[in-house]
Amino acid sequence: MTDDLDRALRGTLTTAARKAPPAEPGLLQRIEAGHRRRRRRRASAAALAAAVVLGGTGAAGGLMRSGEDAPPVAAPGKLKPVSRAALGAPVKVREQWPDAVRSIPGELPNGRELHPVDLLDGGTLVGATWSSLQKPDELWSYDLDTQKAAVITDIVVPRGSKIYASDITVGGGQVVWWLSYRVEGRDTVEIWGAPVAGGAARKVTGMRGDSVSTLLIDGDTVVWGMEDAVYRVPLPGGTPEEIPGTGGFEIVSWPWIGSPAADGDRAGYIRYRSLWNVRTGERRGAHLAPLKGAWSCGVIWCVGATSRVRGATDDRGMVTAVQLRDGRAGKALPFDDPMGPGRQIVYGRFLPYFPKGLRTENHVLYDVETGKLLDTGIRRYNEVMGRARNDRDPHYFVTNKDGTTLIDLSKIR
Amino acid sequence: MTDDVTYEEFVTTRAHALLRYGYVLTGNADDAADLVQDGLVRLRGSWERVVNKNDPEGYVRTIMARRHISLWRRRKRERLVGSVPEERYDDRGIEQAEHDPRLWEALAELPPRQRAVLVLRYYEDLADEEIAGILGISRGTVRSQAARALGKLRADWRPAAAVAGGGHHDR
Repeated sequence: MTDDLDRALRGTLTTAARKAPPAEPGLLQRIEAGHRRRRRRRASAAALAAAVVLGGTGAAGGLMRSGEDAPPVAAPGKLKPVSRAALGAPVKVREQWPDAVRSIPGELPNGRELHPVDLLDGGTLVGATWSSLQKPDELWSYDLDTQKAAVITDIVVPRGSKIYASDITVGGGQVVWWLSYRVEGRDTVEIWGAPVAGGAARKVTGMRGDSVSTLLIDGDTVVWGMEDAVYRVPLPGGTPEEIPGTGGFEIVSWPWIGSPAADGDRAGYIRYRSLWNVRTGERRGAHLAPLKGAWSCGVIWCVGATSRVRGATDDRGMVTAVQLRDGRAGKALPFDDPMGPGRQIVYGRFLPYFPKGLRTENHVLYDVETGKLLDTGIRRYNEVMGRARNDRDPHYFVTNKDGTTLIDLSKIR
Repeated sequence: MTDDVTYEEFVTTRAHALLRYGYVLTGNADDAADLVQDGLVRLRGSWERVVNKNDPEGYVRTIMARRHISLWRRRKRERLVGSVPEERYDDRGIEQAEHDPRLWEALAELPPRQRAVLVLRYYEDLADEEIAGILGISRGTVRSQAARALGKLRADWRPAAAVAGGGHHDR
């Protein structure tokens, strides 16, 4: 009898489970709201012995249900000034997180210069060789342990090429890139791919247009941003499809896309003010402190800088600002930026920062989460770190006179 | 490139599986949604720590089981028996054939801890030792809770085969 009951229980539970409700839209948003409430509650519990009484109102029920769960932002918080002294001495990344910075060979064993694309798990470097400036001709995989390198594929260069193979991206065992050409006055963009294990390059898809802003592989789909919208096609190939509703958006950190996509320097302008998660449907705005300059947002953090007043001869009154999208945790850092507008936070967390302005010798990052400066130990010549097109990739290659160095931002804890 | 799953990916891909689990734990859709949300809020706060141990799902399921028991105790709400899917089953898979709506109703009468033990044993297919770890009780308690629960169910239960011939209920 027990056996029958056992079996009936298994069957009953399994069948009933199928009748579970689907996840409601906005789940992530409600979780975030619950998370913030919970954190606040914890903070106040730590500060006040009496907080237990307050907790009684909502410990169980307060977390639940949607409705009132919209982020409780009234007005954005002010930017709290941070002095140079308060920034402190930079933490040395190589000492604190030895795995985070790694030198990468700049050449193949055969002596050809290798332009890195990605370092795969297991220590295989994927890179491209160039036949001339910015003109990749072959993709290579280079096993850094065994020092053996092999050609992945030859890159086809079509007649009338305008932009050579760009945004080479690895995922799902494939490597893809895009290129563009003009034939008889008509611009065409094509996406090509090849197996990372090696094989002939094949055209994945093509469409009218002259350039792609971001290209990535999401599972078995290729996704890319164009000037007008975001598109997708199955990795094996097919006809491009515009993802509905993505007009005017650009990929920020897939599946998050943002609008407006243009870089602006007008005071109060917010690049990627509206954020939309294509997978979950969640939307986020940005409510930031007033600034005499433009902001640029990622998924969570925004960075802004005051615009230089015409005729000004020094940096008095200028700041570099960081703030959470929802208007909390705003800080005004000492102005550091010798490069003008267009700054972005890298990997959702690190702002390339110049504590000594143009005289800053190494690549330094400001960690927006901890408020610490991080010295990568990588010598800076005149290059500046910028955000990857799709900000999800933690691997960042710096190539300069000293060679090629890989920063794995995910290793900075 | 990394295969590390992000919190958002985890929620997006696992929410429905967690809702199924929440549904069999609580017996109704509203409580299931609350329980999942509660578990995910807690996971959100511990994500970095949890994901490094490679088992965010185990973490959130454990929280859900424990919270189900404690929340229930706190709320002490009275609630009608969760309704049972009553449509005709066309899928003649083994679980369908074994489905028993009266058993589902009877499960709702069990105290939450007893129900949780049965869900972990029969839905999650866990050994008593694992169940003990998840609920934070001894293995002996798992056994006694399971025995009590099965005893109650058995008191009113007849194998579906004895009622409806083929084992599934065509209406």
